[in-house]
Amino acid sequence: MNFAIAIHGDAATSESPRLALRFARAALAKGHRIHRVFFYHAAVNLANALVVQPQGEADPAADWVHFATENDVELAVCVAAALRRGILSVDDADRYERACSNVRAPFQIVGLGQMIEAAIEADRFVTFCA
Amino acid sequence: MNARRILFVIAHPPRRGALAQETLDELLVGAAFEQKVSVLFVGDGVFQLLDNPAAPDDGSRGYRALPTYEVDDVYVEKRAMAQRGLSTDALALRPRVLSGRAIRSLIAAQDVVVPD
Repeated sequence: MNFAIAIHGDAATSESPRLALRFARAALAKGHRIHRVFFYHAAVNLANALVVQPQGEADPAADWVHFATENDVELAVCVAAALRRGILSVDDADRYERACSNVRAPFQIVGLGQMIEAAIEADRFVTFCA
Repeated sequence: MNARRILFVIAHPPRRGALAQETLDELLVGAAFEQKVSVLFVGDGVFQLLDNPAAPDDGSRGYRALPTYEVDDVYVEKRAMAQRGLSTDALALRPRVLSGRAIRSLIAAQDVVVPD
């Protein structure tokens, strides 16, 4: 089965990034595919390259980066939600004349249409609320 | 491509930062993609539909635009309304009021359900 996953919560205030990652790992382990993981609302904070976790503490953003790289899974981040929270791609930093960009690879800044596209294309669309 | 039935379920009250606005944006993009979008307000989510145009940050303002986007299927949870002492007269739209049983049927009929 082809899954799309939406995450709504930030790692600092919600379990949803961790729960979603466990779900994603289990899905791949069972032979399913993941069409796209969409980060919306506060979950866009996972794409902030400037966040530093204290040593020895869990780092869900790093875990997602590792998972996506290992399994070639797309991590899509809503542009409007990201701009609101100070997460800017190189293009956005240029467009809005900000001093720096801070999107962590392989997170990609995309339009909200990519969320709806995933909901249309995937066999199942699973949301992890904040 | 066949249009999918996408139901947005709003359970959070208004004034939670950008949450309500972002959920509305998501819903309108779904409608713009010509999907069969409907929206159900449950629990404290019903407060988002309260008709209070005098309030500077009236939460229902965005939802008033739903008919413009041809999102006509708007539902509220009967129990949530009763528990909060609300009648549909107090709401900005004229949603259909659904029992728990009707809500289960509504959800079962969807291709995708998106909570807020």
